[in-house]
Amino acid sequence: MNESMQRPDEQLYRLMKNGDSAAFAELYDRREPGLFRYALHMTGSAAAAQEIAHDVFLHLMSLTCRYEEERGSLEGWMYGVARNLVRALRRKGPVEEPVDQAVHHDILGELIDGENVAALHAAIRELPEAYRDAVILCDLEERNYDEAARLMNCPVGTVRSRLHRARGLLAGKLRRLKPLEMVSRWG
Amino acid sequence: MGVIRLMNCETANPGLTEAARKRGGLLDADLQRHVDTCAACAAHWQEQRDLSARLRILRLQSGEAKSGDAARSRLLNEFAARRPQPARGRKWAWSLAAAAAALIAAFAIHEVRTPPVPVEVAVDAESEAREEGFIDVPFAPPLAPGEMVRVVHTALQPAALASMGVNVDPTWTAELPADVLVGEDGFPRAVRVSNEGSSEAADGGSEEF
Repeated sequence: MNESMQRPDEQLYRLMKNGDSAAFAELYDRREPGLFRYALHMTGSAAAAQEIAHDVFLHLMSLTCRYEEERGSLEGWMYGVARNLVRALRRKGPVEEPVDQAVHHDILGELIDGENVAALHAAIRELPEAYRDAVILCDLEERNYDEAARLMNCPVGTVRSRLHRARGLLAGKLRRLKPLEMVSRWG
Repeated sequence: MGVIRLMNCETANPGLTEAARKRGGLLDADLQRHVDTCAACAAHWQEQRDLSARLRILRLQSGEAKSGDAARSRLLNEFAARRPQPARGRKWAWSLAAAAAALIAAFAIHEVRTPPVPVEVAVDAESEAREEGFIDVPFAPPLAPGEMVRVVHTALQPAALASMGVNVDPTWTAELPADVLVGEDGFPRAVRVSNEGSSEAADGGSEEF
């Protein structure tokens, strides 16, 4: 379905609150992958990511769900819940499963070795949360600044400055890695 | 005559980072001129391009990542099991309201149909009794309000009938079948000579008014 023809998240939310299973499934299919990847990059664990994405939807279907449409987008609310769940998980301690085991290795695996993948993931996870958010949403999820600002609940200028600062920190952490040979091909 | 803008590292860095994020990574003339003359910014430019390439690969690797079908089914089942059912809730509320309305209506009808003054029943019963040939027993205590009466079929001696105010034929000698209207206190209030046979009287049957 064309995105412009899609029913808004908030409409699906109202329908699912009235017991509409199809609306809930549509909302799940639309938002779960992004939430899963967000949690995956935030935690470094596919199992944790799955649990977090699952819990976001459990919160959504809960009778005590406190989403208020007039206070912002549903998607922003869902990312906020996911962010809180990540925080709670990280307070318990480091997750055990390396993220590079959670993502598929295909032909791209030949272009970047496992060490580099792990190092990049580790570097992202070591970023302060606000910077990590900016990198994941803008550079991994390819959200524009407006969308990222909505999901991060902050001004666009803040997103931009956080992203630039985060990229500076990441570049510093990755200096010890060998340069990518395909930079010229990608760049 | 063209204007040459002077660019320093502080103003160049954000532009370099933004340029590195874009596929192709071409610099505008001002940035390119600065990079060509500034080793630090040239290094920053190269690092940012390298970082973009790594992030792009990571994005492609995780692009299809999502929870599996099993997780999806589990959640949808959970939704089906606990989904709110306001429609049913509304039905329940309407049912309750309808029941309450029916109860009120039944009570109101009952109030209208129930004789408000039970003593009138007794009066009516006595009136009916008179109409059916009963004779009031002299000096009998009046019926209490709401008091029920019943007819006792029996057989009485002519003298007993006479004491109850019945005109007795002097030729009667045997017991005669009679209906006696008796109050709840057991006192006779009215009496009549019955047309039915004495056998029924002997049964001691009774009926309530």
